[in-house]
Amino acid sequence: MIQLKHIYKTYGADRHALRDLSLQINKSDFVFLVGPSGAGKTTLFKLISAFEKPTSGEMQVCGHSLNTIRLGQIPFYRRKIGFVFQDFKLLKNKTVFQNVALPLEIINSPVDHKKKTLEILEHVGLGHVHDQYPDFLSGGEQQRVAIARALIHDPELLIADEPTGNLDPKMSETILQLFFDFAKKGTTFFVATHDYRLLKLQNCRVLELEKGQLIEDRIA
Amino acid sequence: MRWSSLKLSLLVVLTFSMVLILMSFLFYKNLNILLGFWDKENRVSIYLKIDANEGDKQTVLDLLKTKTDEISDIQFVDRKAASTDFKKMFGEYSAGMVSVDEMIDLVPESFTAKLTSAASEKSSFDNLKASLLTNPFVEDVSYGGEWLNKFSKLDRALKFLGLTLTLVLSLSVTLISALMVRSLVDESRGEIEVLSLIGATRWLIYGKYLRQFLYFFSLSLIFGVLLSYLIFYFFKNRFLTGQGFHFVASSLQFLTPVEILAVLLALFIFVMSGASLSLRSTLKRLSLFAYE
Repeated sequence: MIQLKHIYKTYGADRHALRDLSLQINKSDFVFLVGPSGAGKTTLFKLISAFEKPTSGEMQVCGHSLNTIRLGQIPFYRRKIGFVFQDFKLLKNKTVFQNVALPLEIINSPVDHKKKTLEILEHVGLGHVHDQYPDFLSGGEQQRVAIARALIHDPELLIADEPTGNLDPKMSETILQLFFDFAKKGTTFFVATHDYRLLKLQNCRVLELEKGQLIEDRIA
Repeated sequence: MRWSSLKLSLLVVLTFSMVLILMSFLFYKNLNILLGFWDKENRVSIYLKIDANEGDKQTVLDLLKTKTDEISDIQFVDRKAASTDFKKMFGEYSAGMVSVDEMIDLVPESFTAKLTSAASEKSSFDNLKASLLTNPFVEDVSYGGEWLNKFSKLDRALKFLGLTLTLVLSLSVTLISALMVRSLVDESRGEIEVLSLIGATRWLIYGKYLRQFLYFFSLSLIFGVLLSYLIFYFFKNRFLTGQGFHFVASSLQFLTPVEILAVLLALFIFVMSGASLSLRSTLKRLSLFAYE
């Protein structure tokens, strides 16, 4: 699913965000990415999301070579990925339903948008607020909306950058439990977190970055 | 679509810009109409002595008929016609003047004729005037075109001003539109980021914002044309007529539907090109499509 070989990402002349990073994540894996601020977690996600190119090294994600991918192919590549962020990135002028259904509209999915959207909202426990605007929801509810939006089009890979960063411990566990539920359906999860407590919820693979280098690859 | 204050300002600014552009076209068009009108009046007038009798008139007419190289289309203007024209030209300002019947004895009879192009040169006209003035029954010779000749620089300056004004305004509207599109995109940065993340293509995002801008542009065009017409109507039918400039007021014309369409089409191409370029550069500046 994700294969990185000797990836370097350098900004300017001498700021190395990633150094000689090699790793492989297989289909249906659930992998945590940990490390202090500035370790390179967000840079790695930017490379995987095709917002930036590596300075050197080879990257294969969801069957696409990110070294040679053309600008016009990137949207179609991103349709294979779901994204979840710490700040949710919900559209405030759209209802919960409209936010979640958005990917189906963008990819012009042939499935019944209404049925599928309501189903996934029920799954994340938010069927009753489908017509509300995000500002009227709690942080935990907003993050569940973001998860529903990230997964509604059945992506091959879900990338979550500090998804529990703005949530209390109980809600963080709820969110992680949702991830584990969806992972059972075969989606690959790559989740960056600061919260080492979450790693103990399930025996998952943990990658640890420090100063742009992979210093540990273990099972929690 | 929610109406934010930015969107409202966009509509107001675009509408007023449209009004300015349409008004500058109206200015240009009517300037040409008025100048063209005066141009048609560029006939030479040969005023007879106030006491000239029928025989004297015939003598002058015979003389004029010998000048076929210099004048053509000779017409006689009697006192009544001259007085009526005079009253008509001055509209209600002439209300305090004596009536047409009372003016008849004060206004001289005249012949008018068209100058040939050869005689339109100042030196040729001066020669013609001098030769006509040797006739004892001719009081004066004047040429309406003298005014235009004298003010031809002003004429050219006004036309140049009209065109420059239109061009500058069109460029300003394009610039304003481009800045507005940029603000619109900046305001929606979060939305664009999300759209980009979930796999929206560049064209889908461009299309979404250009469609939104097109909506504002179309609305401002409609408001702009309506507002321009209202301003024109009040200027022509209330202000000018109210001030007694009936002659000028009756000459003024609004843009024809074809002219409006042509102006709007040119503006559409101008403004939408500016908006597209701005959208493209703004999206690049936001680094959403900077993967290169």
